[in-house]
Amino acid sequence: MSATPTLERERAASASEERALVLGLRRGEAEALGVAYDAHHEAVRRFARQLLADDDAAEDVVHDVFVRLPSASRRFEGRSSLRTFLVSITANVVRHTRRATARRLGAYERLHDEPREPGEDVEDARERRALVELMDRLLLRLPMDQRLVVVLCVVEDRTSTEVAEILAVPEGTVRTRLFHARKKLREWVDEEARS
Amino acid sequence: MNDEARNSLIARAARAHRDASNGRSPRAEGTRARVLATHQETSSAVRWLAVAAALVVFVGAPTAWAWSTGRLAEWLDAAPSRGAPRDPLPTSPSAHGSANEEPARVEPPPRVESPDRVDRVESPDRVETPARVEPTRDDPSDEEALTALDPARPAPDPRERRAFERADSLHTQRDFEAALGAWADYLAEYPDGRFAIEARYERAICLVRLGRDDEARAALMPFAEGRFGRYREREARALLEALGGGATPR
Repeated sequence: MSATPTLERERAASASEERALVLGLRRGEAEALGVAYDAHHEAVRRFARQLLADDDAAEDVVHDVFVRLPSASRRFEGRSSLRTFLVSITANVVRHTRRATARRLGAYERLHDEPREPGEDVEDARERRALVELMDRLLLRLPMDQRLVVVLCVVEDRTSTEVAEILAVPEGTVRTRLFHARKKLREWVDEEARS
Repeated sequence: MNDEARNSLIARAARAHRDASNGRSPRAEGTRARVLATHQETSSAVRWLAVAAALVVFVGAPTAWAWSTGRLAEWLDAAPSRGAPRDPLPTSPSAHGSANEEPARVEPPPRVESPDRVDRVESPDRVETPARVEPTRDDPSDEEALTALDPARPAPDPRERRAFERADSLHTQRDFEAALGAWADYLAEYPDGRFAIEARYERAICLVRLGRDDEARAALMPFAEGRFGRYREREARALLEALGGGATPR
């Protein structure tokens, strides 16, 4: 089904704004960087947090990603959205980060101590927390290449085409990594259930 | 647990993980400020690097080229500077006419000499005066002369220029005793200096003026023999003839 004319106009306007934003970033304008941060920092932080299971490390990654953005924007060709491009930068930054490792261990301990929301159903909250903990444990056991694919495909529900573009690998590679990652996840889920 | 149950559990865990990761971070504003501050620092550093790179390209590279090709000294000499010693000025048509392979370096234009200086040297009473021979610490040697002729020799630094100026000034004031010491000091400090050849010749002139004929002959001989190209060759021969007392180069 084709988009309505109004929606098309909005998309065109949005694309035009994004092009102007990218031009500003390429010129190193602080204002453009601020606008990009305001528009996309939550997506970048979420992705980083999912990969690292550590708020502090995720915050550092957000900083590093946006600091790199002005120079990285020269490679931005406009084939994907700026947000997708930022996720791609985030994947690279996380791949090369070494700081998160030590913090992850403490993250689990802190998770148990987090206060619950008022009025939250105790059983539901406990189950959600257990699931989050389980996913954190499983993801952290995966090698980074497979972890990236699982977060992007399974957690963020992105298509393999999009993930291939973000990670700059062939789509077949994405599928292969996802296949092996899923296999490991299932094995580890069994281990968790037995323990 | 079968595969379907495992996949379902993984899917639920993934959803819970996504939900848990949503929400605005209380540190978002702080990180924003940090990003902009880092960006500003980086931009400033890049601007400075650009300025430095431009300086290197437009100033450093030509200077390095000039230095490596021996033209830097000429540039510096051509630039007007307070009291900077010039290459000795041409004095006579003969000096101008003395061609050389590298006239700018090997054969700098000679100093102006008033006729009376030469006349007095050549007057019989001066030449016939018994000279007191004193050993000098810087008689020119072939090796020194060749080194001085090296086109790649570095440009004079300000201290060298001042040392040359001092000796030149004393010489111009006709204080030959003091000038002799100043030329010797210059040569001791800068045996391969930019003005070493001129300094050797002027030192020889001082020795002639002071009646130290043997030393003067020794100092003039390399010039008369053409060890410094044609620079002062003719004058040196004339002086040696006037001094007498030894073989004059052909």
